[in-house]
Amino acid sequence: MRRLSLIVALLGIFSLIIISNFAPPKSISSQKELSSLISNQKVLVSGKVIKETYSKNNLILHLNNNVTLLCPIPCPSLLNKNISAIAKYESFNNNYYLKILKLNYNG
Amino acid sequence: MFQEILALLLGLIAGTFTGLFPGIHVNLVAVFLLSLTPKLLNYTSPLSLAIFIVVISITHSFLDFIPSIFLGAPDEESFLSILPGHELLKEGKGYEAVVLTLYGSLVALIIIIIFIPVFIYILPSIQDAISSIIPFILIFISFFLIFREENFLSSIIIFLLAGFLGIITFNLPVKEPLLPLLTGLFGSSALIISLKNKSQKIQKQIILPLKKIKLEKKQILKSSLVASLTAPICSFLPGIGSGHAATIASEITKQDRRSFLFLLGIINTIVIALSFIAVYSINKTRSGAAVAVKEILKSISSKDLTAIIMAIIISGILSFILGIKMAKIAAASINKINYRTLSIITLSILFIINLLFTNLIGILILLTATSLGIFAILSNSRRINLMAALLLPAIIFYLGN
Repeated sequence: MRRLSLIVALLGIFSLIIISNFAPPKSISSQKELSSLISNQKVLVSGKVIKETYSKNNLILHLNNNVTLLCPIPCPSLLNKNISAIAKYESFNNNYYLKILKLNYNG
Repeated sequence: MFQEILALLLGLIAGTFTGLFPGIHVNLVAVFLLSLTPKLLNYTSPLSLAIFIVVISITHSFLDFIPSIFLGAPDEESFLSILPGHELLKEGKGYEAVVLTLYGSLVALIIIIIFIPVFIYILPSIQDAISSIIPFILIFISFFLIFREENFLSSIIIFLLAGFLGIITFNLPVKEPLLPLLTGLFGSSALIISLKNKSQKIQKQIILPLKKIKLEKKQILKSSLVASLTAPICSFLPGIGSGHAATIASEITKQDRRSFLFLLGIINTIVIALSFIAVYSINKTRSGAAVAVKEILKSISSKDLTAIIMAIIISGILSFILGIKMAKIAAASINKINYRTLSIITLSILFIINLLFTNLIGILILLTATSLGIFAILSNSRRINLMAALLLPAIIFYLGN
């Protein structure tokens, strides 16, 4: 039973890593859809950057569909550019935000 | 005034329910209540609602050891009590085990009163300095846990796997990640092992008079002192909680089973109570319940703070009496039930609760954590090594900030 429990634990951890890395992101297009997300869920967001502001370690991107993204610094200026990003829905002290994991943009 | 007293009484009833029912955490109630706040404020004051939440939290912190010790069904704060509690239960001393945690929670009320001025006047100026040394304390504890084991190899495997499982779990889309993680590592694993054992009859529980359930004065002082050093820190820093405080405290001073239960009772109540004071002193929220209080009151006046402190003390004393009564009922009934049937029912309840409050990924975490918990028990490794599931993510969190 000892060996079996170790094997099941290892298989479980391996499966969770796969889920964590390869689960397809959920596509969202408005701020309203954020309420249906759960912490650490990956999302795909697209839109035009209409405003940029700086916080401590992030550039905050405000998109034309009212979605706000956190881009960890160093992050290029993306004002007026159409972007598509895979982001993670994270929480800290019960404040929720979308942190960019992968970013694509064009002029 | 009438509304506040009513809120206190209702909080005691609700806290009894959340404390005794496995898997129902006070944070769930706080979030639910927060969503109803605009409607509730038509009938009552913000202070009454805040008192209701404070009282639920305190009552919960006194009573949540009862399902942990009698059923092996833990929650986020009481999971470390399962092992010593279960051992005492098998010796017919389940009631004594609960009473020791209740004594701890009662002593915590005195420590809380001592620490309130420290939190109000000193904490704002030292919180940054404490935050910066926490990861190094946690790293030291991690090495200490591994290197003091006789079975070094099993210990390091368990420590690393638990830490790794914790890191992955906190990065997965699961609503209540701690629920399947801690239930698996400390609850369902122990229940499955006890199912495997042939002797399934829990012996008759001894209900001693309170004056016969004693700890040595030296042990009381030692546990109180070490809890006073660790628990207040964990009540205002993010990423670390009662489990970390208990791990650090039990490594600072040697604890036997009885004094460890007493220590857990102190820490559990201090962490939750001081998290409300931290909202006032540094405007930081360390628990779902503290978030709810902050959202409801917006800004906490000194009058509100006095009411909250009164609610903590009064509900603490009443919860102690309530806890003794509930523990007596549990101890009197436990041996009348077939323990095998009870374990199967508890396992089923834990599974259903995990399914309801998490999702299929949560069930996979539960399965993995249960297997790892079973491996730790069968390897004769100290189960405190499984605390790496919380220690490693906290170390990474602090080093990254």
